[in-house]
Amino acid sequence: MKRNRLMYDYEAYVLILPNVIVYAAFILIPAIGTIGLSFTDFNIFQSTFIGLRNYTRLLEDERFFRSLVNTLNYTVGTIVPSLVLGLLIAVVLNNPVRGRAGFRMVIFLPHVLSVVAVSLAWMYLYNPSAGVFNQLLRQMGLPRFDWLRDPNMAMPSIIGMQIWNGVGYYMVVYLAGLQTIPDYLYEVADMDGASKPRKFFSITLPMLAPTTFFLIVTGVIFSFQVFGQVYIMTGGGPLNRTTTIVHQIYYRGFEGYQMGYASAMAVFLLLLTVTVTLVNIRLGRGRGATDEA
Amino acid sequence: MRKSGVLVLIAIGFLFPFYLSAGGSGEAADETVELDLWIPGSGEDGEAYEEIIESFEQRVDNVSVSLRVIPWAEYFTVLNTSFAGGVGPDVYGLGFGQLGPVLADGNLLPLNEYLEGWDGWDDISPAMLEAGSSEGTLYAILAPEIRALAIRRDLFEDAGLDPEVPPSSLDELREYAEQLVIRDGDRIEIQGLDLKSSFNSEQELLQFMAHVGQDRLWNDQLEPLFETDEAIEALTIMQSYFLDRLSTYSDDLEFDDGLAAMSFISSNAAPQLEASFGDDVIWHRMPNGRSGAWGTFFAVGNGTNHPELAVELFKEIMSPEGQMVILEKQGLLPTRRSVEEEFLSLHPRNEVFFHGVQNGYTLGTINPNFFQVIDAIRPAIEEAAHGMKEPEEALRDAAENYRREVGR
Repeated sequence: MKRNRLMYDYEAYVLILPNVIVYAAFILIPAIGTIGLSFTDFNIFQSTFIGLRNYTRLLEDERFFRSLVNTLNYTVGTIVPSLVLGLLIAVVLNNPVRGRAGFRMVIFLPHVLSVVAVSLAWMYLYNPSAGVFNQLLRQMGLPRFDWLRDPNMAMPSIIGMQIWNGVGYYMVVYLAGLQTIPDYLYEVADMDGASKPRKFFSITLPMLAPTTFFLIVTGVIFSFQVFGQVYIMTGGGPLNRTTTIVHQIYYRGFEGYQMGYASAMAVFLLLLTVTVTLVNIRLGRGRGATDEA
Repeated sequence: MRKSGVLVLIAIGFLFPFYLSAGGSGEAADETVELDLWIPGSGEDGEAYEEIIESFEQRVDNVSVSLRVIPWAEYFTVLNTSFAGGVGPDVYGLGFGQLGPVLADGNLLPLNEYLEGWDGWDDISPAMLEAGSSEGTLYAILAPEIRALAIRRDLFEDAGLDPEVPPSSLDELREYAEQLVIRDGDRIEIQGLDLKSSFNSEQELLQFMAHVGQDRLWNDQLEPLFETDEAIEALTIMQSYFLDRLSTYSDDLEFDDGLAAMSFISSNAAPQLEASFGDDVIWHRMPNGRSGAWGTFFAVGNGTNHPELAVELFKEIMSPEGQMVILEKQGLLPTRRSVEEEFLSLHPRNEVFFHGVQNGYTLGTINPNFFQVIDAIRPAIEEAAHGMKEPEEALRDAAENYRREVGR
């Protein structure tokens, strides 16, 4: 019996071995290597151990702090509206609305497009002279904006694009969550004469807590890694108002060849992401959001 | 057991591609020397070098040159990775930002010894030679594009200006810009002068600096020169274009898009501009007659196994014939005085470009801290352009940041 059990395990390990090797080679080992590099001044050609100097440099780097603030602004700015819009759209499209399959497809479609393609397209939409948005505003006699050139407008412009790009995903996940709410809860509420808003706030929202929790956790993780949109649309400007942590990692690592310092930033991002995720999980447990997870 | 054996074979099969990719290729014994030539650019840029290679292989026996054209965005990463792996090219192109770090890491062959008696020393513009030199040793030669003053004939005429009479001083440049700018309320519809406030803004700043008497961003000891009185004056002038709404904050090529009346623009944009605007684009010398030169350096790798042959290929590229082929196919300007007649005969605007090359300036000698220069000065220019800092404060902060970064 024991011998059969070992043979069974052996087969399983053999089957997962290729995936483990690839994961170790391209994710795990580089991640460990990055931690090691963060204690050096590696620039591709040479490397010297410098202890914690890269980390103390982080504390003095105004641009890095700017990128941290920008990343947090981006995260809150994209997740909150996406949650609200995604939920509202999901609630509407969960009803037998005519053509709802088509609506679902259209709203989800931006999410499957590449970040590069979306960013390039929106750059043209935001063009101050020839862009569609300013042309429409001009037609309506309204003031036009320097969307990506105005330091106060650049990050909101990127956030706006990202909400358009990501709300379909939130909608789809919420739609799945809505399917898990038992119908009898609504039937009982109807019998008690509950209004639609009352049912939404007393049944739908609480029952979607695990879904919302999932979206917040994954949304934070992905938002902390924002890069492509910033790199393509603004290059981190104007005046560093859109640079993010990953953009700074790229800038320092691949334009400045300060790989050691970039590695320290990456380690910081890893610790930040893990910390925020753990806080989210703890808060979610407190509210019962993880009960069904 | 049989079932386990099948599963093991399946698992090994998944790993098979890795075995193949890890396999090395043996080299067959061959008397022909193989040289690698790497060029940054797009596929069409390779056409010039294919022609040069053909000429070289006909001239030199038993040598075969392998050309590789790599997009700019990936080029430095690929190049550095090859150096780190000990398999760098024999002859290759480099940008300004790459030259210093590559030299600092010992990957450039000192050329003085190999170029003794070479005609290029007397024929090539001294500024182009200096740009690729460090402490008196030549490591690379610049194949330049230069900045010239491009104007729109139609916009000049609409503003009542004579397009054949360009501004001859910074004061006149400013006056022209004020007459040429077109606004719609608060918005600039047509810039008087197309300037960059962030990306590549140091090139614009250097243009203004050269007009007030300083054409370097660092001295021969690599100390910053961007907190001098001249630099502050230049940035003050540049700042005024933004704050007085003669230029926008766009880093796009707005002159190319027809949204600016004047621009300090690269010579290799000429064909595209003329295709877009025809005779409405006129090229003039800079107001002070001196142009900033940028472009691509050519160098020989210090790790080459065949330095003499690699230098011969380098000389082929830098020959009068090679430079004219590069001009025709890639748009980079010739630096040799001996091709002046042929170059000028190709197009009237080449008079401006030739003058720019022969009287031009670059950033200075090779600086391994080029990234730190850019990292310090671009934010300073941007902050001044937006009125967040006075030019003096911005540039002094930039110099301090540069020294701090270099001192790490």
